[in-house]
Amino acid sequence: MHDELKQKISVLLDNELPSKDALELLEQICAQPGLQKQMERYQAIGSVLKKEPIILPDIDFSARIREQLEHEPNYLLRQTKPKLFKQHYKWMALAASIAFLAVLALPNRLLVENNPTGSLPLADAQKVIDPIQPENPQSGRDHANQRFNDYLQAHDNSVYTNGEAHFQPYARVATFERE
Amino acid sequence: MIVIKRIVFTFLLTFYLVSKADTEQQAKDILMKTVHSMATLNYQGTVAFLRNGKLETMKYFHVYDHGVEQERLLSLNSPLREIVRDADKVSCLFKATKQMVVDHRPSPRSFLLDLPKNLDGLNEAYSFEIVGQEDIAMLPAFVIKIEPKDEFRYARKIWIEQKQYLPLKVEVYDVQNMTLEQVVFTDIEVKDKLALVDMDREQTLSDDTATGYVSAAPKQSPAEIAALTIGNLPIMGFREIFFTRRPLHRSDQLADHLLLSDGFASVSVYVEIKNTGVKSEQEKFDGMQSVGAVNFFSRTINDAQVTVLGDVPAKTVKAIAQAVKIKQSSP
Repeated sequence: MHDELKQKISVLLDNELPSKDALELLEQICAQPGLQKQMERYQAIGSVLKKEPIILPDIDFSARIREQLEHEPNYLLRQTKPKLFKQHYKWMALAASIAFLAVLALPNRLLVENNPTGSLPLADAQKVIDPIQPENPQSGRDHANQRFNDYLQAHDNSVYTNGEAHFQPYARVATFERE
Repeated sequence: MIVIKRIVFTFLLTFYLVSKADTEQQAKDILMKTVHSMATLNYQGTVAFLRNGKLETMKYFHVYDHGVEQERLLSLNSPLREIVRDADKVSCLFKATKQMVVDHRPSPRSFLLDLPKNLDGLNEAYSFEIVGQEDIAMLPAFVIKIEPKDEFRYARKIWIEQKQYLPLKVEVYDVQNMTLEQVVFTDIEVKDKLALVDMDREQTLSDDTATGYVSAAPKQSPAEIAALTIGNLPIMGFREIFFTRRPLHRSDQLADHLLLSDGFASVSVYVEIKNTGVKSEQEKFDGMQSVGAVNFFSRTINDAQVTVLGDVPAKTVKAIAQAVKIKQSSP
């Protein structure tokens, strides 16, 4: 069996496979009994290690549903045709849209007249709020995570065996000297 | 009648204490044999690491050749990599990018299990007991329970194969007795001989190996230069193992790193001085964080950022962090 498929099954069971890839893989699993067995084995190993009760997926489940659907009778009900959009409704909708825009534009115009700088009041309001927020909170979090990652990697070897797909080796994030 | 009852009670109590001491000594003897076997046998197998809810399955090789010991891991899942440990040097080759990373640890530590060379000094912190026999990877094993005598460390169970005394399974439990980590062999085989792997040579022979990175080897620094001292710890059993001062991040900022251990659990204390390493209020990380069995506690003392982490309960890292004092003449 292809190693790549095995890896994908493992990632799928960890709920980390993107949905598109997961659908493709599930189709392949349905088509290949070997893959079905492989998935059962991986799930059993995972359940044992996590001390969970082993619940193996019933591979025939989808086949039985499909079979039942095929035996369902077809009901040929009369469909109602959608009514045609009458021409005069278009003009009414256009008029309503113009009226709505006019209502929106009027207060803004009045505010601009009272504001000699011409800047939008909404933008000014944001300016007042923004300084309270950190400039880039994500950057702060990344920095913290990076720092803890550095500490953890300097602490012990667990980073090499912890199963983190995106683990960065310590040497990438610290200052190094070539040997 | 009362005298007879007292005699019987004393006899039973003595019998219980003697048998308990005996089983504790048996457990320690088995663990000592494990330390020797782990270091001197050639063996290989498939090992699964379950940490932080992630399962990592790897091929494992241990080589002992004329006094030289080597551990090797081959990952079975992405990111594919080969990791070799020669004493305190760890080399990691990423298969996809051909990138080689060489890292140096403060002290040689096994990928599987850290066992102290001497268990006699651990009586104040842990008790040892054989709690049963089970089969792991179709091999009969003793089950040794290592129970902490306080709430400052985690309990462990180690399944040890009964002929060669190799560890087949390790579990770490939190204070609620929930499993935090597992390392388990699904198959293991002892060999007469296994070949050492020279990662430096492999890198040289491979034309397409990408430029690697090499970490600076941490050298033992004199403890007198440390920016920190540890005051009176409310926790018994932790001793200083290693102190070093070296850059840890992208900058040249030096960090003090003090490694403590009670034999099974290890704790690192890091101190970095503000204005260089800790640039702003946003970069202070005061408080507690947890990653699986590892807990972090950070606090700021004057200009210093103190971070304590280890595979111990949260209250332990907090207690150690609160016992840290910064010297006046720190850099």
